[in-house]
Formats: sequence, C-alpha cells, structure tokens
Amino acid sequence: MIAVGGGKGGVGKTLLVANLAASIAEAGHRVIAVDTDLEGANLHTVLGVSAPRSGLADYVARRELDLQKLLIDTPIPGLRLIAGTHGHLGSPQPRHFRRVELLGKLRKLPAEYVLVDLGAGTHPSVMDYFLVGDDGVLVLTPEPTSLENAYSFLRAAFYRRLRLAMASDSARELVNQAMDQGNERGVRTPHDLLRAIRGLDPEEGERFAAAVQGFRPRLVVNGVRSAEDVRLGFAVRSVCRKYFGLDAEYLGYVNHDEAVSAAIRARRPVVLSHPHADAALYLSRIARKLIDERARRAASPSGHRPAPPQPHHAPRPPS
Amino acid sequence: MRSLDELDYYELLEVPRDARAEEIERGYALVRAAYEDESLAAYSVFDADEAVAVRERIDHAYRVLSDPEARRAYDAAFDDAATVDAIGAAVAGDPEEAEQSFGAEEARGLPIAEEPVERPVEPPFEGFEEVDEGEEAIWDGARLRRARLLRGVELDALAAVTKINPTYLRFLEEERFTALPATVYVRGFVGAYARHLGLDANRVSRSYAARLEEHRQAKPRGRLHR
Repeated sequence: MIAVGGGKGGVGKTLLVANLAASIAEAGHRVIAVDTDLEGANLHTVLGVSAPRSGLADYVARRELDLQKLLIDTPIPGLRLIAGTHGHLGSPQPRHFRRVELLGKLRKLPAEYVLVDLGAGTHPSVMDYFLVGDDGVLVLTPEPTSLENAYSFLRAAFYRRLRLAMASDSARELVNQAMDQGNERGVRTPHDLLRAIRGLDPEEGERFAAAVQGFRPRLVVNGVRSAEDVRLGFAVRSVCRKYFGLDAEYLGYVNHDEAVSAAIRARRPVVLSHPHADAALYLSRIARKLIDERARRAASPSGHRPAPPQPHHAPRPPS
Repeated sequence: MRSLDELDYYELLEVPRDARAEEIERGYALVRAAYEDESLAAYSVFDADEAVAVRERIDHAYRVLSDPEARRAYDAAFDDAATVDAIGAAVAGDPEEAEQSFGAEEARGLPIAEEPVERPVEPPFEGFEEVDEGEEAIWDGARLRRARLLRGVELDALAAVTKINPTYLRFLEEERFTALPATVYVRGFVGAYARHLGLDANRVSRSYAARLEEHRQAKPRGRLHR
C-alpha cells in the first residue's frame, strides 16, 4: 500500500496516483487506486470513470461495509478504483477507530498494489493513511508554498508517528510539547526532543530512535522546469537528514509538460494518452522503481524495504 | 538519529566513505546549495543563523575531505579508535593545521589513499540516468531538454558555452520550427548542444534535422502554425 500525500492541494497527488496506478497495471500487475480525498474527490475523472456509483464515502457513512463491493472497474485493464464520493457533496472523514479498521481493510484488498490518493492538509485522518502505507510518497512542486506545506506535512507525520511509538504518557506529552514550537522546555528540533526523551527514559529513547529510523518518506518533485528544480529533491532530502534525522528517498521528478493538461482534458492518465511525452516517461520510470523495489522486498526475508547500504557509520568521528 | 554536530564529514556531505574526489565535489555542491540563503528547501526549516552554522560545518567537512592528506588523517582517526584522542585535535582543525601538527614528513612517507578502481562513480540518484539510449532514438526537442536536465545544465550555462543565443536554444527545445533559422544552422546548433552534453553530436543533429525537414515540407514555408 502506497499513500501519496503532499500537504498542499494542486501539487499533483492525483496525477501521480492515477499515472503510477495505470503504469503499474499496464506492466501486468493488479492495482487498486483509492481516493480518500472525500472533500474533493476526482481521481475517478482522471482515470476515465465518469460517475462512480459508489465510493469510500459509503463506507464511512456505513452504507456499505465491504470495501470489495465498492470496487469499480476502470477503462484500464488490471486497474480498479475505490472512488471518493459520488455526487458533489463532501463527506466527513471517519473517526479514529473506524479509520484504523478501514486501514486494515485497505491493506487486505485483493491487489498487488494499493495506491492511496490523500487529501490536502495535515489532519490526523490524512496522516494515518500516510503512516500506515509502506512507502509514503510526498509530492512537492518547486514553489515556496508547496515546500512550506510539505514540511508541515512531514512534521505532522513525524510527530504523529513518534507519539504513537511512545509507551508512556509522559513521553507522549513531550512529543506533544515539541509540536508546539513555542514550548517552555526549549524543545525545538527533533534532536532536542530525542535528548529530552532519553533523559526521561532511555528505553523510550530507543523506541524513539527506532521509530525515526523506520520512517522513510519518499520525495517526488512535480512540475520541474529547470535543473535547479531537479536538484530541489536532493536539497529536501538533505534537510530531512540534517533536521529530522530522516532517511528520505528521492524517488524521482516529473517535468512540467503540456501533455499533462491535455491528458486531464481527455480523462486519461498521461502515461497512456501520451506515452512518449516527457512527463509520461518520468512517471513510468517512477512506476518501474516501485515495481523493482517490491520485487526486491519480496525477496528479502524480513519483508521490509531493504535499508540502503550504510558503509560510513563505523566508529565515532573525532570531534 | 544524530544531530548535526554528531554527523561525521562524510555524512555531512552525504557521500559514502569510499567516495572518490568527484563524488565529494558533487556531494558538496548539492548539499551546499541546499542551505544557501535563497534555498527553497531550507528556509522554512532552518532560520538564517542556523543555515549559516550548517554551511560552516559543510564547508569544513569539504575542506578536510577534498584535501587528500587531511582526508587520510581523518580516515586514519576513524579506522583506529585508539588514536582518536591523539590526533583528534589536529584532524578537527583546518587541513593546514592538520598537516603541521601531524608532521609533513610522516604524512608524505605514507601512500596517498588510492582511488578505488572497481567501483564506477555513482549518479546522485537513478533519475540522472538516461531514459533510453537506443540507436534508433528520435531526438526531438523534449528529448534534448530531458538530456540537458538530466545532466543538471541550465539553459543559460549552455548558451554561454555554445555561444548560441539562449532564445534559439529554447526554440530548439520547444520545437518552434518556424522561428528557427535554415536547417543547416539548426544542425550546427543541435550539434553544439549535443556535444556539450556528451551526446553523439552527429546522430542527434541528424535526427533533429530530419524532424525539422519533415515538418517544414509538410507545412508550406511562411505560414505561421503557432
């Protein structure tokens, strides 16, 4: 299950989900795309499904409790869809316990790949999809607004994951305080927080470090127009390492391309409607990376995404 | 998870410990750019003073790792924890200081770390590889642009090296065929463009010119199509 988020609306989450889903399905895999953006659902349109009869909103409203009955065929072989809402009214997100249940069911859907399109913002409901997925993908565009929202998103996901990992109320309280940047204890950065939690309880410190290590968001830069935009992905990855201590992965970038708008008007993923367009080549390359990685993971005994080689962590450096 | 002060020099530059000189150069350039004042990636996370501190750490790491002798001394400290205290002070300082306190004769007596031969220079990430490089490849504007972006070359930089007006370079990429000069000139432009990117200039310019000709024959000259 791969969740695609980005904090900001309009950065290309739906574009990415639709095209990765289509591309992976075209490679012969069974794929289900899920639109969890109940307030602005339009994944179905991009995939060429005009008026979905049912959607995730039906599950949330308890009209249908079997997710499999919400599956809709798309014009693309191998790709099925759970739409967001049908009709035009937005629906509320499920509450926490229902959400946990829903996440469990999403993971069990009969497909090799479940791709989840997240709504905008950093509401806990959005964060949970992102954190439960194997490979949270963060989409950003080379604009200050997108970067600011991407970091708010990352911060929210980071602290939510850590809070869930903490066993004691006092450690959870510390995490809560760290999220409030004006806190009195001077806990400003993730490292301050780690120090504070270690001071509180070394075991919680271990759990904290493990939770950080296991969180490996992946970055996609969309709407690239220059080499500098390409380098933005490296810069964000670097900031993730140096500020959050997170080992983020730069999954790839997608060029700005008129073919994307043309494809949306044609209601088909650009990888199918304009397979030779610049954007399509980049999108299918990201899809290939995901397929390769899944194959590697299936081959590794632990079932987890293999960690990158870490050759340079031997003895402490002199300081 | 370690804080900035706890990262070693290789981690600061985000290169492997056996990084070759060019990987260190490239790592430094990428990482350094991330913390410039105008960097989109850093400003909402690090404030100006913090960014200065990060830059200083990165610069220092680069000064040591880009100097073969200072780097060797630093690596030695890594490899032999027992000597960390003895040489730590020297290594943590500037390369010049390191050399002085280390003793230049001692340093020169030892072989300089050899560059590993078997491992090719890795691209900073897979996205910098070509999408496909078939003999039959059609070189259109989008593909030229892609090749340029993959190599991290900005249009202005390319214009400066090739001495071709950046507007023409953009027209080449956008395939504004009616705005481009006669085919013979375009071939020259594309050839220079390709050569600078390390592509096969002949093959690329031939393919592009063929597209251009095809287009020009299909559309009577002088008629605007855009």
